[in-house]
Order: sequence, then structure tokens, then C-alpha cells
Amino acid sequence: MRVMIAGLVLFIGSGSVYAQESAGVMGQVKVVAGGNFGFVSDMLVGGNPVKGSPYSAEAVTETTQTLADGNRIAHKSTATLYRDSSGRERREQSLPAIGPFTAQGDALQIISISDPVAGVNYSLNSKERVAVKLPTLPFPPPGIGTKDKFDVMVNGPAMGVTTAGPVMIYKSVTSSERVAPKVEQLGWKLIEGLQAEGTRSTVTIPAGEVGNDRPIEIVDEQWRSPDLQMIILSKHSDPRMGETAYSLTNINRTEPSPALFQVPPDYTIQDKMPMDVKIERKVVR
Amino acid sequence: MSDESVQDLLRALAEADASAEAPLEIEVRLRNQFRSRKRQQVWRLAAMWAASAAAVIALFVVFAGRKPAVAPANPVVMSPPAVKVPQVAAPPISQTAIAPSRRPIAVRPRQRQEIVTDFFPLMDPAPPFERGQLLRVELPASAMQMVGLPVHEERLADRVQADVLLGEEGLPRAIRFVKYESK
Repeated sequence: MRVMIAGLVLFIGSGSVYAQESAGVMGQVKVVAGGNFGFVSDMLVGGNPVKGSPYSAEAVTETTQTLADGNRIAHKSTATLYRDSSGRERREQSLPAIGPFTAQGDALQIISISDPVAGVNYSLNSKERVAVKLPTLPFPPPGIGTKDKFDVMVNGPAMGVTTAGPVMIYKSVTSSERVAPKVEQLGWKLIEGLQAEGTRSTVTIPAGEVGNDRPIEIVDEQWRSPDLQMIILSKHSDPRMGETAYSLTNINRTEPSPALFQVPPDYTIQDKMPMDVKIERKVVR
Repeated sequence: MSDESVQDLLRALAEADASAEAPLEIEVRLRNQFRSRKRQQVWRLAAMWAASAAAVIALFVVFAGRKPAVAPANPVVMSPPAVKVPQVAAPPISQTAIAPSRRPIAVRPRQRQEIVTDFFPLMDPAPPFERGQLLRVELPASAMQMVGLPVHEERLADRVQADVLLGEEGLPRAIRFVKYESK
């Protein structure tokens, strides 16, 4: 378990999707990190479709990791988000790294379109003018709180293949197995012209649990806009990994152009939609 | 003793032994041995024929039941050959000549199926997940080692496919590994 935790820390050790080449030794196993990653496709997941609340905004993520010698590693990334009145979404972002893995060549420009009305996702490859069509996945299941532990099993959709893939299982890991998080309501705040409600949850890893001398506190602060039905400001702080700050800026409430939610006409659509998509949900409380 | 006298003696001995026969017991044993050898040869021959026949039947079954090889579901785009092959005009074929002599055989394409691992959490504890992205990427196999999966030292640089679940803020929450198999 400790080796796995070391691996996880190495994977996201620099705080976010940005990191440097690294290697480490934990116990008797040498953990090698770093290298290149190649992008295949992507899809937007999660959240119920939000209708009647269009917007466009810039999403900024900043990560900071302070090393033991006081040295700091800081990164910043941006994404452009759009949503129209019918709940269709578009996300444009560059992806220079995932954890310790850097992109092959130039930072990737990833464009994703999610159309919950049609039940499809498009992953646009602007270099090759190809749009990969994939089914949307409701995530998490309706009626399940985000702090619950749940499994989502999807029989059928397999990204990148036309046949029915076996299973997708994501187990949301909460600290409830270890110790219940301490949740504080932070009240209301005006952020970027929107009212947002704040929540802070703190998880404490007791001393000795992962070889730590003193308790470790992991703090998550989120500010959620009921109008946009999404988080517009958040901060994640874990002494093992550093801090990640996320914020929406330049929020514009006008209806984005419908063309943004369509595949450009000069793109070739690769249909990866399996014929028999079946979604099963299993709630584990 | 001269050569001639030796030959005379041997001739006399041969004449004396001409009527002599082997004992009946030895003759019976010799005949039995002969018959047993003969029987073994027959069995060996029969076994050889049976084995050959079985091999022929097995080959027939394998080739008859074999699916025709087809392109994979996601064909690899190959660049055209650098050397130009001269195109030879085919002679015209009359319609009667191409009349099908057999019923067409339905070709079932060989399908690719992906085998995936469970998702391995990358954050413990993780902030609540509301929405995000599922990225299909290629990574070095060393990524498998990071979540505790065993990878041989020599295979650490091999490329593997993985799905990485990113939160809205870009934090990698979970990873699973993917392998393709032909059905």
C-alpha cells in the first residue's frame, strides 16, 4: 500500500497535470516516473446537463509545490469553456502534461464537445481534422451525492473501438473509510459577479498511518454557483502534493455561437458509438 | 595336411550331418519368434496408418473451421510504397466468364475487444468529483508501476494505453489500463 501511495504521489506529485521528470525509491521498489504521453481521445464526463444557463469562461488552474529545501514548482494552465441553453458543452484546452508525463512534441490542443441531448461526445483532432464520436456517460448517477461512494459500470462503450468493451468501473475514493471529513459551510460570496456558496472539507490523516510523525491535513475549499450549477472557485491543499487553485474568470452569460457545439464541416467523423450501450449503476454506501 | 585332405574331411562331415535335424523344441521356439515379429510389424504399420489418418482429419478440421483473415477494426493507415509498381492492363473479361460458380461466403470481420483494468485512484483522499474529462492516452508502462502493478524492468519504456480521469480543475483522479484483444 505504501508503494502504491508513493506511486500516486509521484503521479500527481507536482500538484496537477503539470510536473517534471522524476524518480523515487520507496521501500524496496524503485518507482520510475516521467516520459511522454500520446493523446488518443477524450470525453467530458460527469454532471447532469444544465439547461437554460448558458455561459462562456476561462478556467485557470494554478499549482504550486514547495519542496523540502524551500524550492517551489509552479504551473498554470487555462481552458476555455462554453455551454449553451440546451446544455451542450465545449471545452478547449492545451495539455502539456498529465502528472509526470509530458506531451509528445508541442502541448496538445484538446477540444471536446458534449451534446447530452443527442447523447454524444466529440473529441476533435484539429491537426488531422478528425472528430471521434463517443457516447456520453452520465456521471455520477442521478440522485447520488458527490460525497457518496459509488460505482458506475458501463457495459458497451469502449473508447476507440467499435465493439462493446467490457466494463468501466470508477470507484470514487472518499476519506470516509479512514475518517469522516470535517465539513464547514463558508457562507456566500460574490465571485466574478455570481453568488457562490462555499464549503470547506478537511480530512486528517492521523499520525503514523502513512509513516507520518504528525497528522496530515488535506483541505478542499469549493465555491459553487447555484446559477451556473458548477464550481467557480476551488482550492485543494495537500502537504504531500502542494496546492491547486482553480477559478473561472471572464464569465460571460450570453449564448455562445451554435457553431461551437458542432463538428466543423471539413472534419471526418469517426463513429465509435457501439450499437448496444447499456449502463448499469450500482450504489455502494 | 594338404588342402585337398581338409576338403575331403569337411565333405564327409557334411554328408554325415545331412540327415541331422534341430531338436523339435528349438524349431517350435524359432517359429513362435518369427510369428511374433510378424505380428508386431503388422501392428506398427496399422498404428502408422491410423496416426497419418488422424493428422489429415485434424488438418482438415483446422482449415475448414478457420475464419478468413480480415483487416482489424481500426486499420492502420499505411503510406504508399516508395517504389512505383508498373500497372499492367488486365485483359477484358466477358460477363459470362465471371458468373459465380460458388455461393458467396459471408465474411465475419474479426473484432477488437478491449480489456480494461479497474480504475486505480490517484488521489487519496480526493476532492469531490462533479465533472471532468476521461482521456485515452498512451503512456510508458512505468505508469503501471506507479499504481502498484508489476512491470518487468525491461518493459518500463513500452507504450501502454490508459484512461485517465481528470477532475474539472485538471487533477488526475484515477487511471485504468487498456489492452486490446482480437475476438
